[in-house]
Amino acid sequence: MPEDKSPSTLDLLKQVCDIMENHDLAEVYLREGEVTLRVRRTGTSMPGPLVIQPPSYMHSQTEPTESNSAPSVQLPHEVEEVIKSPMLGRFYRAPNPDKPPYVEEGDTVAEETILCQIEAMKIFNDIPAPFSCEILEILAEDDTPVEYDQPLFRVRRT
Amino acid sequence: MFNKILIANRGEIAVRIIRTCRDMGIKTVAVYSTADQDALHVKYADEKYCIGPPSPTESYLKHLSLITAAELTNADAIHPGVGFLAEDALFAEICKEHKITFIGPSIDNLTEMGDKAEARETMAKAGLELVPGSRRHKGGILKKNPKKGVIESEEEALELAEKLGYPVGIKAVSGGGGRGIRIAYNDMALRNLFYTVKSEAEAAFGNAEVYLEKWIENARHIEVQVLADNHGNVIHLGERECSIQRKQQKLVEEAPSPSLSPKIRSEISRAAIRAVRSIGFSNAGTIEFLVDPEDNFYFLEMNTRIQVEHTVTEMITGIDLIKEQIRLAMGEELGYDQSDVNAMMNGHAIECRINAEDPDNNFTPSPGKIDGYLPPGGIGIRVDSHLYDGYVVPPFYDSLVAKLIAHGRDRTEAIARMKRALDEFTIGGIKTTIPLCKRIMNDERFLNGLVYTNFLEG
Repeated sequence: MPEDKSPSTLDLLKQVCDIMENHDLAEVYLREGEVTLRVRRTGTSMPGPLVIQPPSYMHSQTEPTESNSAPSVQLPHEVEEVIKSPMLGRFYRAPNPDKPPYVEEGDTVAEETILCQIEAMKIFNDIPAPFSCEILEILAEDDTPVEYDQPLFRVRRT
Repeated sequence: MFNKILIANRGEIAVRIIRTCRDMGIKTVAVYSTADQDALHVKYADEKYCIGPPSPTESYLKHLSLITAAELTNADAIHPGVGFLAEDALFAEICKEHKITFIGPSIDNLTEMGDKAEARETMAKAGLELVPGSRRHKGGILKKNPKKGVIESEEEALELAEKLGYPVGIKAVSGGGGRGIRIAYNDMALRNLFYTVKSEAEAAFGNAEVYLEKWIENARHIEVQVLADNHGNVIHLGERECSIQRKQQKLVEEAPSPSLSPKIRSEISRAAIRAVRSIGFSNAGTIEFLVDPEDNFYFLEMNTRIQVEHTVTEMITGIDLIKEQIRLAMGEELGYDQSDVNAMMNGHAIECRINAEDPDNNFTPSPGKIDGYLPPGGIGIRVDSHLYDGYVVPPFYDSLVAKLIAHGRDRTEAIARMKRALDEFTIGGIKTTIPLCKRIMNDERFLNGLVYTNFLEG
């Protein structure tokens, strides 16, 4: 099967490079469908050589060329995680209806930041972020019941 | 009429309660731990909420989660089932505060009968005989806790045991349901077991108080089912014989008892009614008695809840006891008087409890995936179970997986049907106590109705 450098893969590479530059990341490991990317940046100004690991049926592979630069940082394998409810109760996105929500999609929060409240028997329990992360998606609806272990936030560790 | 009931339990009893609710047109809410995601009671209920991880303390016993679930679903009432919070007076109080009806007796009933030593005191006042023991001994050994009959020291225990005569039972005040009991056959055993029971009791119930009782060999365990409404009406629905037990846990139950003479039956029933009236009891309950070889009967304990073996009473009376509990909780009057019930009594019923345990390997628990489930059928056969093919029996809860009940016009017919049903019953993938049930059904002593609480030791 011919090498597949479809536009979508190249676009993905470009996006990864942009993200790395914007967020000053040293290394990204990304799996999208059958394509795996590991991108390592040398120094802080320019992205370095790319290593693309194609699916097993492809013929060609590009080999990395090592360069002498600052050591890279290993990031955790899993990019996305789900924060689940620790209890049964009613989910609230804001401290009260007049105030803004604790978090919105796209926010990056530090560990211990309050993400929401869950109310049970008239007691409002603050739910803190277990680690610093970016809020990708809010999975529960405001003022609705949530059960134990129910997914509340899809996040990316930062 | 209740619109919605939350079932604060799991397993076969939760399925049982949901079935009656559906019969009555009442909506149901199931609560479950993560280990019970695929449980049958969750599939059958109208609404369901996951309330915690597998551990019962974090899920089925957690007051907060149960009340929250009831409030989120606007449930009118909670049925606590058996075990768990069924006799928890505090939980009943919390329900009341939140305007949720606790389906069961009153908070006072639960409090009074919950402390086993206090219950004996109350029942003695109501005219019931107690097994000779630290509560009843005339010698007045007890200085510290004359009311409760609590034994404070090894010396006290030894002194009393000498007067009562061995064997003696050392029992945890907060025990019940067969838990927190050890039997001593001599001084040395008593010396050891006295401390054993205390530490076991402390660990299990948070209360190390124990009392002493004469242990009667060849005793029969006879219990009387009662129903009472809030209008002063009390009836009994006959007795159950539950003598076949393993480590004080019931295995086989039947109604009526094959060994009670009509005279004693009548006396026990009347005594039960008298006792229940005296404590202003309401809803469903069971008074347990010990009957000695001379037909003397002694009050053991009162269970202020529905019992696992309520089924055999249902088979001989045709009355749905869960339905009665619900009706009584709604404030209705009893639908039957004693003569109605007596007229409805019909035939004989036997129940075999089937546990996920290996009877050939010291009853080691046998959780796991059910691979091939085929329950028996036919006339007079009833199966109460939460099993289904592919279901994974979790390891976190008690091992009861099915109740097999056989009814016949007489005991012989019931036994024949039970034997046939046990042969048909297929539960693949796990070990069960079905082989033990079969052995019991073929045992000469059982067939002759000669069953005592030491049956399985013989």
